[in-house]
Amino acid sequence: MTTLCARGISVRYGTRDVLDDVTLSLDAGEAVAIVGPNGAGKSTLLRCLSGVLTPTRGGVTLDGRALSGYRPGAAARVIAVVPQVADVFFPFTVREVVALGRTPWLGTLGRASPADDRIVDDALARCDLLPLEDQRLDRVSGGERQRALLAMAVAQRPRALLLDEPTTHLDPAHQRATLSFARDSALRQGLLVVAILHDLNLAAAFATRTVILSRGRVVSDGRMTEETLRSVFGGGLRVIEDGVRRVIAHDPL
Amino acid sequence: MRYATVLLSLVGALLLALLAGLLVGAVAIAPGDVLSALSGASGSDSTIVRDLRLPRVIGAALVGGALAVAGVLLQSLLRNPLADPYVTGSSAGASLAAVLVIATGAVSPLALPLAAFAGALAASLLVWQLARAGGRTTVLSVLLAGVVLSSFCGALVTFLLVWSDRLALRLRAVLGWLLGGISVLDLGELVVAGSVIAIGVALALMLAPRVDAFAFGEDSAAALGVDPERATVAILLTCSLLTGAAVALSGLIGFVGLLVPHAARFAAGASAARLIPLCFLAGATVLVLADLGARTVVAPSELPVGVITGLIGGPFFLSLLMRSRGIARA
Repeated sequence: MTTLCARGISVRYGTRDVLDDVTLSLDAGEAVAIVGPNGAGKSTLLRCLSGVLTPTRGGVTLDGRALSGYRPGAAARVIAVVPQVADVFFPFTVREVVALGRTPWLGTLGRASPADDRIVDDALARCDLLPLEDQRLDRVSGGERQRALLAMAVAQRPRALLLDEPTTHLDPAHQRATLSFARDSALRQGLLVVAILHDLNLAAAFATRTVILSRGRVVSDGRMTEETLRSVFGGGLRVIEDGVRRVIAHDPL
Repeated sequence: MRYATVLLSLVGALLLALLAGLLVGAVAIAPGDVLSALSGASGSDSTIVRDLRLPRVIGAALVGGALAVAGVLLQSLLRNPLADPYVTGSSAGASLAAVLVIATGAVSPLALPLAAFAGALAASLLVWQLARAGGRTTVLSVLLAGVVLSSFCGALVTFLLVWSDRLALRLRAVLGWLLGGISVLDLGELVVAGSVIAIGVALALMLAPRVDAFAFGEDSAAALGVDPERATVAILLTCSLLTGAAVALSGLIGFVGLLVPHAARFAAGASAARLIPLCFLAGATVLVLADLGARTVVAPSELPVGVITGLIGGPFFLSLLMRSRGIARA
């Protein structure tokens, strides 16, 4: 069982608290969506949870041990981060990018073993990328690039998967595909999956649990209600349910 | 083309370039005499081949290879296709430190490369700090920091040249070296530079996966289990070993570290582990040929090889800069 806990973490840039006393306990098997207005501290929270950023106050624990006490390589064998679709400056192939996921598992000499190659093959196959493995990352479509970054995290063989706005720049079909892959990883394979999402409807479809951040604080944790949504995002939002779907609809403008 | 094919053809190209460097020079020597000189014959032609041309072509090969490998590391680390030891100011830092050592009159064969290494390291750490002062490294901030540092070091070197009697006595030699002249005085120098460069290339190969982990930036490297600060220092240290050894042998040679990795990526993609051997061979070949040009274009006079690489590399750099305006804004 993997448990990732934020215990009273705050992050201060200058005089501004980007995160203010956030406490969360996230467990394996959960699909957690983090939503909130721009500047609410979502990315900062994710960076703290992955150990990339050390909070100014408070701390993050992984399975009960302080995350800052892990060696960088050891933490990366448990937690994988899918970065936002990034600019690529150099002609890496899809396969080379996916193989980057093996970095925390390589020895000092940095050579990949046949077992590493098989894990990369498997990650490519699971993300339907085998036919594209020798294509350059900057020459494939946006959706394919997103899948390659996802496959990179899969090749890391993590127990927790963190995604930073994985659906921006994707069309609805690719949004669904990416998030259903992430949800399956949580519900079927027992990973802890945490995704920052801007689209509230996608969050409602994806998540078993939704954390709403506003001004660096957790204002709601669990199920989004119309009341909290209206108070965080302003009026004009309505939650409509039909027993299967929860739709967050805008009032006519 | 397959990677192994590219690698083998480059080995062939380097051997041919080395041979050409031995055969051609200010004094015409028949190919047969060159071969007998290499196999140990005596005579004035043999002395020219063995004591002048051979150390020089080997020196050129080592310098070119070292600069190209340092270029790959810097470009990948900074995610900047316009970085190399010359542009980022580490060559200038190395040359300033080396000139300081000459001015103090140190005689140990290790003093010059050691000082050049320290100078390159100080300069690259400084540029890295300056460039990320704004929060994140951008293509332009690195170039600006490098330009400013290079001019500053250049001004100090000029000051030292005028001020120090010891340097003034050897003005022509020091100036020639500064402009990028490969002047190998003795075998000891080559052995020192060669060993340092071998260590640098071995370190570069070991660091290759960490270099690649920077493909999506520092955060992503950290999430892949690479400590960005420590890896950056290790990579800059390796670059400085290579740059220091190269500058100690040959002064300021620009653009080899920029041109060669760029061309190599067309043949072998972006993975550092594949690029490093390729760049070493290609850089060595390019500089041996450039040095051949430097010795023959205005024979019996000689051009500093830095002039040749500058004439070819400058326009190339500008065209890269124009095409990367989008990156520069990022």
